[in-house]
Parts: sequence; C-alpha cells; structure tokens
Amino acid sequence: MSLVAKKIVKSFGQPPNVTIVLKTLSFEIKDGEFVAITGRSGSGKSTLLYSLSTLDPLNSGTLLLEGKDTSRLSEKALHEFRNQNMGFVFQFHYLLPELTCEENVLFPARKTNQHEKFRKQAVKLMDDFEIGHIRNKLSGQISGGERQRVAIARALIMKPKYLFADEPTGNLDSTSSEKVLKIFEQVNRTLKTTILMVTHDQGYANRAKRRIGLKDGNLEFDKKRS
Amino acid sequence: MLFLAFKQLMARPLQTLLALLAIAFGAAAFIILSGMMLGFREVFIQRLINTAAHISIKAEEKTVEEHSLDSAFFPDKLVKWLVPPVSHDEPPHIEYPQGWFDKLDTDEAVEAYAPQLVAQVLLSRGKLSRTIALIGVEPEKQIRATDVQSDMTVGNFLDIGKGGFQVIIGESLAQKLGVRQNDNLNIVDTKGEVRPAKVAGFFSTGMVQIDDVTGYAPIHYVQEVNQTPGQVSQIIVKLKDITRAKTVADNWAALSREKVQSWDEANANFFAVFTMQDMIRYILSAVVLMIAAFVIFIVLNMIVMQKRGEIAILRSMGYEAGDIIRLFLSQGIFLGFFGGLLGLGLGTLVCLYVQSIKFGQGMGMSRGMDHMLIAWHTYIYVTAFLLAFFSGLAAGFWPAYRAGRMHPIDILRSEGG
Ligand SMILES: Nc1ncnc2c1ncn2[C@@H]1O[C@H](COP(=O)(O)OP(=O)(O)O)[C@@H](O)[C@H]1O
Ligand SMILES: [Mg+2]
Repeated sequence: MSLVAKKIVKSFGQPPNVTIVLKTLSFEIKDGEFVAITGRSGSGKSTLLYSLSTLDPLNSGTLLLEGKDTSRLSEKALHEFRNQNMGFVFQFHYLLPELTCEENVLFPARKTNQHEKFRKQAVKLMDDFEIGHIRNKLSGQISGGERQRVAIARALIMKPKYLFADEPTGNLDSTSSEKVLKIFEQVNRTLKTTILMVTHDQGYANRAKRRIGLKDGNLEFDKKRS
Repeated sequence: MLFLAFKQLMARPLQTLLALLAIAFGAAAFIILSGMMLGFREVFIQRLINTAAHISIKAEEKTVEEHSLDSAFFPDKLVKWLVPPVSHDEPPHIEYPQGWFDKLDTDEAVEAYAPQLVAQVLLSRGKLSRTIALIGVEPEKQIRATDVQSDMTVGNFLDIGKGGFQVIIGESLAQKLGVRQNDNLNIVDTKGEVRPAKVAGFFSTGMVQIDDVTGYAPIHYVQEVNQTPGQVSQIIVKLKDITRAKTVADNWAALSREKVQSWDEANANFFAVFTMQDMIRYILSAVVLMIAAFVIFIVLNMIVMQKRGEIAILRSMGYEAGDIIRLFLSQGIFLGFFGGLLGLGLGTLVCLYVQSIKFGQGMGMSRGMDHMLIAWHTYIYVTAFLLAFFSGLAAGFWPAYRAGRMHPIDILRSEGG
C-alpha cells in the first residue's frame, strides 16, 4: 500500500485574509520509500508534513492512507492509526523529563498498555542506536544528540509504517546529525519504514532516494535517485 | 497516563508536598473545629434535654390590653373605653390540669410527665439569703420525667416526699449559703411569711445558671407558699422519642390554650448560636481549602504551560485529548485524595491530643468533666475527606481542560517547527 495525495490544499485564515500554503499538490509515496522534503523557510514543508500525517486536516483534496480516505475516518480512528502506524521526530526532542530514556521510548506503547510487551524491542532499538548505556538516565542527564536518538527510538517503538521527521537535525551538530541520518538509512533499509524527512540541508536531502522540492506551496521538483 | 501523572508529581516533590499539606490542613481544620464544636454542643444539648424536658406545657401569660376585649363585647365597632380593661394580677397557671393528665396518661408518645408549680422565694440562713425559683414537684413523677435523680450529688430525690417541708437545692447554692444535708433553712414567700424547711440533699447539673437559683420541694408545700392550692404552672413531658418533640408539641399546641413548647423551641437562641458556629466551621475550612485549591491550580497551570511541547508529542503519538485531560486532572485528584487522607490523620491526632488535655476543676462546664469533649462522628470525617477531594478535583479541572483543548499543530508551530 502507499500514501496518496490528490490535489491537496491547505490554507489558513478566514476570507478575505486567506493564506494558501499548499496549492493543489498531488503525488504518491510508495511503501519503503525514503523521501526528503526540501524548500526555503516558509515554503510549506512543515505544513505538508503535518497534513500528510493527519495531524492537521486538509481544506480540500484527498489523502489516502492504506487505501483509506482519511477524511472519512473518525478522530479516534486517526489517533489509533497514528499510534500504530506513524512515528514522529521534530526539531526538538520533546522527551518527558520525568521519565528515564527507556520509559520515554516505551511511552507510545503505554497508550494500549503494551509497554511490557515492547520492552525487549526498546532495548534492542536503543542498543542499535548506541544509546543502550543511557537507558536508565533522565533526559536532563544526556547530550542533545543522544536525546534526539532517544526520540527516534520512541518514534519507532511501535514498528510504524511511516516515520515523519521535521528538521530532525535542525538542532544538532554535524556529528550527531550524521548519526541521525545513518539511523534513518538503516531503519529504511532493514525495517522498510517509509520515511518523510523535512530538511533544508541539501547534503542530507541528497542521501534520500527521492527528493520533493517545495516553493511557495507548489511542487518545484520531485526527483528520484537512480 | 496515571503512570506519567504520578511521575510528574514526584518530579516536583516540594510543590507536591506543599499542595498535599495545604489540602490536609483544610481537611484537618474541618475535623478539629467540628470535633470540638460538636463535642461541646452535644454535651450541651444532652444537658439541655436532661434539664429542660422534651416538652413543657406552660400556662400562657395573658396580658389584657386596652382593646383586647373589644371584639368580644362590641364586634365590628370602634371602642373607646372610659375605664379600659386590665388583667387582674393572678399568677399564670394551667386552667384544667386534670384534662392534661388524662390526655398524657393515654398518649402513646408520652414516656412520663410531671406537673410543677414554680414560686419565687427567698432562701435564708442566718444572715445569708438568695432568691431562687422553688419548683414544686411530685417526686415520683419528677424522677421519671427528668434526669434529676442522676444529678443528685447528696441524698435521694425521693426523700423530699417523705413527710415534712423538705427541699433539695443546687450544690453550688448550698456552698454559697453554707448549708449541709439535714440543715434547716428558712423559706420566705413574697408576702414575707417565713416557713422552716429541711435540706434533704443537693443536686448539680453542672450549669451554674440552674444550680445557683433552683430548688425542689413537694408541690403541695409550694402551693401553700404560693397560696394557690391545687394549681399547676407547668407540666414537664418526657417522650419516648425525643426527635418527635416538635411534631408532638405542635399537635398539642393546636388543641390547647396553654403554651406547648418542645425543648428545641424553648432553646431557640442556643440553636441560633449553633448555626453561627456551623457557618464559622464551614467558612474557615472552605477558606483553607480554597487556598489549597488555588495553590494546586496555579502549579498545574504553570506545568501545563511548561509542557506544551510534550503535550504536542503525546497527541502526535496517538494520545487523545481525553488522555491529556486525565494526565492533569488525575494530579489534582491525587493531591485531593492523599491530602484528604493526610488531613484525616492530622485532624484525628489533634483531636486526640485536645481530648487528652486535662483542665483544672471548676473550668469544666459539667461535674465529672475534666477535659474537652470531642465529637467523633463518621460524617465529620467523610465530609472533611469529600471537601478535600473535591477541592483537588476542582483545582485540576480548568488546567486539565485547557491542556486537553490544545492543538498539537498550534503548539509545534509556536515552538518553531
Ligand atoms: N496557523 C497559521 N496561520 C497562518 N499562516 C500560517 C500558519 N501556519 C503556517 N502558516 C504559514 O504557512 C507558511 C508555511 O509554513 P511552514 O509549513 O511552517 O513552512 P516551512 O516549514 O517550510 O518553513 C508560512 O508562510 C507560514 O507563515
Ligand atoms: Mg518548518
């Protein structure tokens, strides 16, 4: 299955002060793709990501996930879908400071009371991401790069089909950023997770197999690496 | 979510402790105030019931004024009396006591009754004298209708019925007059006539306003002193069920010329004071709890603002608005619940302590009472706990609701995504 956007439009404000941010975009993202979304600041990258991840409803157009029209799904169904099939990473890590790194990673599983079942998975992910040694630390006690990797492990704990990342390296130094990119590549390769990553760094964007360029809410380019 | 809520509370131990204590103080304040006020009140009411009779039937003091008789003599006319009518000076008494006796003998609700005649007399012994209300009683009936026998400190109440002019007076009065059991006193009536009487014993209700100015004598002696043979000024009634006093009194009052009062009507002024006390009790506790709730409210509101980003990520990972509400509301509830429990403990301890304080003789309101009496009713504790619990709930409500209404997108954008 795949993610299909048909003529999606997203605007803000009430007439006559309407800003159209996404101007009738159409594209399809197949399972297992690693897509970078690039563009200048204000071009609508974040808005596109929030819309595709069902966090923000569309003004018009259709978004099909697993063949289902998302506008027909209830709030509850969307929540459940996000919990089971989507992981999020933002520029800021948003870890819960009261919990250990491991508990943070497991937190999505708590929604369905399955955290014990997923504990092994958490340990494995954290080992894979070289953060196994900080499992029992609080987020205040670790470095920025480690925090972001804990956040990625949290996004992947439910083995989601999709990983949405909005400027995941925006707050990191180059060493930490490189580690994040490595993890994304590894996850895409081994777990077949579909990744949509917003970035304004051309170098990182080039690591993706496909690049979608936005300009003022229009599709500037959509290139696949051969 | 409870897991996270608990972790968040534990992550700020000082604020949590402060909020818990504030709630606990509120609940404890209610328990302590209620324990002391109600403890005192119940003893007081018990005394009142014992001394004041469940129902008293008294002759109505009829005052005749200038126009009282107009309608009887000249209905529908405006009257100007040349010599206005006045009441003649007869002490109030029950017109037909036998009618009442017959009625009380057969009434199901009545446990016992005792007719009385009260006369104002002077007690004198040597150079000392006191004015008292001398209550003429039929001893057998009196002890069945009242607790006077158990108030006896010296002698037996029935002794005054054993011939001769014998009286029983308050112990404190006896001390002031310097009389002992079997001493003789002089009783001086309003006309100045002097009669000797023997002191058969003493009683003490614990209330000076009674003990200092009251004496008992056989009713026929008082009738003689009063020069009103056969008269009865009031009938004291003891009911099988005191809670029905008001109903029964009202029923009887509707059918008679006498003034029929239940014990609580007769002491309405005390009940006004009790109402005041209740207000103070509730207002004080409410103020403390409101401060506590305010502390929780401020803290939670602050936390919600600090945690906007975390709320956004929780929402994005599939937690619903209801989960977010639960996260913060449960913290308010937790503080209310455990603050309430803490308050119960604290209140109980303080009450136990107050109860254990002994105070010197003479300070007590009643003989044999040398410490504060504390009420231990379950409902005090239930109320205190519920007050605490709902303060926490109320304090958590608005911050939780606000957090639930936050949209993840708005948060992410404002945090710079
Ligand atoms: N809630 C909003 N109301 C009005 N305009 C908005 C709102 N959210 C985003 N925008 C506008 O949409 C445009 C795209 O924003 P965004 O998707 O954040 O861009 P990017 O992530 O590419 O920097 C910007 O011009 C921004 O001002
Ligand atoms: Mg952006």
